Amino acid sequence: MNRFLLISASAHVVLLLILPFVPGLFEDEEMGIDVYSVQLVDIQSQPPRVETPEPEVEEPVDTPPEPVEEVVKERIPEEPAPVQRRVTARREDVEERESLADRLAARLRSQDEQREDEPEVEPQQAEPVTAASATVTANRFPYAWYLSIIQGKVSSNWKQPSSRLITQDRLSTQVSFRIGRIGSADLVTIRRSSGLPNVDQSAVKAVRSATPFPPLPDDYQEDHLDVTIDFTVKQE
Amino acid sequence: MQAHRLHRPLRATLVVTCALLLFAVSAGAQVHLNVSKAFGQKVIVAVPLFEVEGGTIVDPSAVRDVLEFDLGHSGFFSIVENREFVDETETDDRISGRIAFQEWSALGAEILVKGTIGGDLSEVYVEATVYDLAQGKAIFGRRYVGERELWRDAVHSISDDIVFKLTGETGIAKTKIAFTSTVTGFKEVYVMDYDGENRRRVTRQEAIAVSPDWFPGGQEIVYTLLLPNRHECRRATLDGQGSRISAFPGLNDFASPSPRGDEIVLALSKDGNTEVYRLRADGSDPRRLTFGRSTESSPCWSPDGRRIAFVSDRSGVPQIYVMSSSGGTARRVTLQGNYNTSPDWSPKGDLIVYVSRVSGVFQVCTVDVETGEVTRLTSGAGQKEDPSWARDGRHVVYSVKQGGKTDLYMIDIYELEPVRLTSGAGDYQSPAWSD
Repeated sequence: MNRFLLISASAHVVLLLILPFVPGLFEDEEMGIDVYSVQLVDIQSQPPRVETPEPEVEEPVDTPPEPVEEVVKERIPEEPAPVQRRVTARREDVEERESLADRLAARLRSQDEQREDEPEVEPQQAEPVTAASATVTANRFPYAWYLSIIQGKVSSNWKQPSSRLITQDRLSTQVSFRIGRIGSADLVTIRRSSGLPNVDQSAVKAVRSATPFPPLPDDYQEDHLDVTIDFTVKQE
Repeated sequence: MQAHRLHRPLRATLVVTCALLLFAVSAGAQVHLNVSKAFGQKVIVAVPLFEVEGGTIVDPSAVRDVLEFDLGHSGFFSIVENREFVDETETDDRISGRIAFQEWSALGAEILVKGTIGGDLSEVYVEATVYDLAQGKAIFGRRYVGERELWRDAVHSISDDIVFKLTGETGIAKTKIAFTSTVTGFKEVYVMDYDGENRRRVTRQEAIAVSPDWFPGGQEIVYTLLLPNRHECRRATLDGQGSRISAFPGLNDFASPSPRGDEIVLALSKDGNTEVYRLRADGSDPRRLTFGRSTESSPCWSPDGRRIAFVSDRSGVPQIYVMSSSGGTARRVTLQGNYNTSPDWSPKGDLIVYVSRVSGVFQVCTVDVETGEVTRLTSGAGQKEDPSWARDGRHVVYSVKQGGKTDLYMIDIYELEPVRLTSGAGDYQSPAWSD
């Protein structure tokens, strides 16, 4: 028995020692986190402008009043090479800016706290509305703006069924769909029904009418993004 | 038995292959969102002052104002508040080339639009790069070049590019609004940018021009000229070159070009009472679409060209009806209110915007063509008239008569905050939004 324990313990120790050297094991965690340092430290030189004319179809340019799109410039994110030099060369500057950023953050936090106390202003009609919404981003999809747009478009297009039909205090429908590279939405399905077909259908319709979604970000490698949305109706 | 054993490895391979395929298919990232109806979430954008290269050809703060107006009214973005905190450091940054990602993020901004203007007195360029602040990465960049006085168009183009790239929707920043104005003493047709700028006169008839509408493509309009002895339906290019479409006895009013631009529908009274007719865009081949003793008027096309909405008083009061674009039985779509007129069909096809008399005041409403659900867009005093959709199916322009003067306003149908587009002497009426 003791022998087995000993073997097991030593095997664990060996494994633990090897683990840090396994290549690629911690790569996931680094994704999307090192980005702040990328261009913040870029100093004197503007990022080089790489000209990559896109084969985009522009309107015909025979009419003089149209400004002609001459070139499409894409700035390629910089390599984070000159970090050290920048930090040492303009250390004070950096610290000063960081403290400014901190001050701003603090000020905004206090504004947010104040806002939370204020009653929410409702748009117009006395429809049932829900509480706050939240975003959960998968770390493999670090494009927060993209998800804000999806949320905004779906919620603007959501026409909730009449409140007379809803007797519960709180109802929730979960709809999932897949966004393709060009912003199409496919495989729209109800993943969890609210129990009320009207509510379920209103959620599906919201997703469909919110299309087209934005094209997936250029540097996002996959060919699609799977999205699940919770639609919540809460009686106020 | 033997056969079974032979098949076993094959089956195992199949299972493994299927599993791998499934894995491959679902390899994209997955995200989970919550949606509530309270507010449509907006992306917060920061637009630092544009950098100037080669002398101040165009005021950089004017450039920023235009871009902020465009993005702020697109329906998808809001402009970052308290930007003056970061603006201070921006001056240094413009020299050093540093980009204040952290500072803008601290203000709550998610997207940063950094731009440059330059050029000389004859030609300017406007360039912008859009950054994802959370990641500190460029999303895309654009540069437009044109004559100096067209710098606004260049900025509008950049805004539409941003809207498309970041939302997938077609922006409205480059659209135009046609309208009539009495500023010269006559009533003529004018055209302006959607934000109220760049006003210019199209007709010089020195008479009364009414109800302009656009041919698709935004290069030509149709309108009705009221002359002492007749009404003429005419078309005109934006530089004023025109030709007559129809001049039947009586009304030749409320013309609306088809989505393909090859036909128009309009109201004629040549056969007695006012009815809806369909003609070719050159005025030939008139076909009557409505028959009856009531008055039928104000026709407009559905975006697919298959249906026509119009106003009829067949029930005793004016209401909006829909019929096939080849005529036939019409279905009433406005079931509330006793005075509903001036329909315009949304480019998305689901809604018709119209004017409804509510407690004695004309207000702008939408009705869902299929469900009949009505939403009121405007409120308060002032007679609202002649609503017209923008191509995004989200904004509507209309006129408001208040205190003896009429001006144009636009409204976002989700946010319902009117934005005034015209001011100054004269009346501004009968707006029509280009595609």
